[in-house]
Amino acid sequence: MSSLVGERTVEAHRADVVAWIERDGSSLSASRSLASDLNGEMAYDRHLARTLWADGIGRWGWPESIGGFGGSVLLRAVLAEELARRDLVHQNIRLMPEVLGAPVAAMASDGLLPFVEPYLSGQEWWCQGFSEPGAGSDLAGLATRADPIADGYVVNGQKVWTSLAQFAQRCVLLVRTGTEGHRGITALFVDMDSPGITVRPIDCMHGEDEFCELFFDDVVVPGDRVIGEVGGGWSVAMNVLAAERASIFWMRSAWLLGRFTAAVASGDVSDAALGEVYLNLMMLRSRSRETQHAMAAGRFDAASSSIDKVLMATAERSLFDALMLHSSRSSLIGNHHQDARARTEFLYSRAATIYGGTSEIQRTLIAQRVLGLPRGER
Amino acid sequence: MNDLGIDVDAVRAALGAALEHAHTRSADEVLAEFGWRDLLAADPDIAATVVFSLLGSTGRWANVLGDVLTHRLGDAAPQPAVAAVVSDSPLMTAPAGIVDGDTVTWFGSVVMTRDAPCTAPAVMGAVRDARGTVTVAVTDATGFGPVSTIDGDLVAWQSVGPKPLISLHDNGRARGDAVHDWSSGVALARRALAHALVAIADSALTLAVDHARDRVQFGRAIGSFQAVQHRLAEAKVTLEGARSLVHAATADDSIASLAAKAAAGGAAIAVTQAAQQVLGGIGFTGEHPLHRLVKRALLLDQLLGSSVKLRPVIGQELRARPDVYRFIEL
Repeated sequence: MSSLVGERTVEAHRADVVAWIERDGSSLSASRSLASDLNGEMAYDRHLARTLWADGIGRWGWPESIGGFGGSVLLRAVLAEELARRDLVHQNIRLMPEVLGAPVAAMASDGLLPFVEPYLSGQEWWCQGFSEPGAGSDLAGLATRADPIADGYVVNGQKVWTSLAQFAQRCVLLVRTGTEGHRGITALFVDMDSPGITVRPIDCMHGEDEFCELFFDDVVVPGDRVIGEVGGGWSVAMNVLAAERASIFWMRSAWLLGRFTAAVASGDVSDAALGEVYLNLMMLRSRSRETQHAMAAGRFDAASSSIDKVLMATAERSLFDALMLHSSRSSLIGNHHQDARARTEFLYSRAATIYGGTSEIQRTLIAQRVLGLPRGER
Repeated sequence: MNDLGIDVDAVRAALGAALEHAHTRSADEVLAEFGWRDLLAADPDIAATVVFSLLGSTGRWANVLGDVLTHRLGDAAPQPAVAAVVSDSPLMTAPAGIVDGDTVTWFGSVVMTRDAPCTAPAVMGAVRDARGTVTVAVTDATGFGPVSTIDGDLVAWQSVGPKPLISLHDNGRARGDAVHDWSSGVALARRALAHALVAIADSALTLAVDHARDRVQFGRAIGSFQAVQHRLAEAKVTLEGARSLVHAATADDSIASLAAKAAAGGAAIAVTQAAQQVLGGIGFTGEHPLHRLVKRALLLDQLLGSSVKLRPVIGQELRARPDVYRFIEL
């Protein structure tokens, strides 16, 4: 286990991470190769999270109040990056604790803090109940209601696009406790085994049932399960969004770079297409690097992080376009295991301009909040 | 302050003010007075990137690209006022001429301000011989004449026919060293041009955003229409992606310099195009400053490889050197 003494530098941490991966990486790689579906990937991810936490290397960058070793959030980004570029993580699974764990750790009351470590250490799984059938781009229009009862709330409504909810023990749930608009929204921390919750995985075009619908019928949630303030759910949502744009994008860019490396080595993609993808990846990475450092210094700007999101979507789509459409050996047709995986990744990249706020929403935010153009009719 | 004790912000502010306000003096005179050559010798990266960024943002131009290209050749480079031949060929040590015995035939251009006298004592550039070997050659400048360009303030010196060779540039040095130093100069020149192109894109976007806020049609500012907002937002994304990449590319590294130049050239062209569209009629006139930015972006993009030509070059480099991916680290 690494020393707790003194300020830990990114370089020192990277050396330890690489040494850890060199020791355990081949067995991780072998166990990941056994995962043939989402259940297998989740089992692998649990094993990975437990090992990282038990060995200590996964505790760096997390606050000591939840069992972490403290230090800059950049330390988490280093670990995520080194795992991602070696293809030792399933992107859409491993990013979730970053998205949900960090904001909840930052905003939770003392009563909720003890829930965080079991999540980060692979003992439990959480999901994120935000979008609704009638509240996608217009998230502040959400309608799932939480009505006050003695000692808590009773929740009724429906959520959609909830990633990996079928594996979750807890849910970070946005509900309406007040009037219309973002001021009437509260974030609740809900046990998924509460009576009245139904989870239905959605059959998706990329072949992994990662997204779910959630139905809430008179679900009772204790009053001490409010994250932050009553009516303060919007700021929880914004913090989750910020977390998504920070180390997640850095990890994702490292993973994309890993896939790109394979594309270069394959010799199947034209030089011009490789150059185009490389530029998109490097613009994303250099921008994301600046965002990481701003975040670590407490200078994160939510509005300008919309730029990161559009760069991310552009880079991801251009990479998988090159691999699938501009390659002399396309996996559009093919029987191999890697063809199936390539098709899944390509199809998932079609969602890059949609999930986490569509590119259209991002452009409107950039125009109004970064460039300062006047709000108009939508 | 950087490592050498140069206060970069102070240099930027002082030189920027001088270039902006000293209209009676050429940018070359302003830079000479500022001690450009000393700054370039002390810290080539800071000097080149700060100065070219200012040339981009002020809309002025100085004949200093040759200094950047030859900066590593030190005392061996002809002094003063060397003009370096800039090939439009994108390859790293792109020969801009052919050496045959005692003569050199140049086929590249030297991009200069329109009023610059054709009095450079020497012209220098990478050349190849009949066997394809690349070296660095010096000839005199006679016979070079200005050819007009799309940018009314800049001309391209070109020459026809063979010129007497003054020296193959290996004065006491191995040929490989001269070529290596020339390549370093090309890499820095690409980063310098990338800074200028980002500054041009930034200026164009500012003009367009200001116009979109002020221009009223159908009873409201056109910047409140989503079609205009999204076009400008996309331009902003392109600009900021290129800006971050250009700032990350500080190493004396060929792939970083290629990527910076390609991204910045592409961004400058895309952003000036978007600005042109949003500015509508006024942006098409000579009374509005946009046309200068459009033209300068188009010309600078061509130097040392355009954004279109550099893409396959980057692909080739990546294949040849699989270790070059990660110049952007936390």
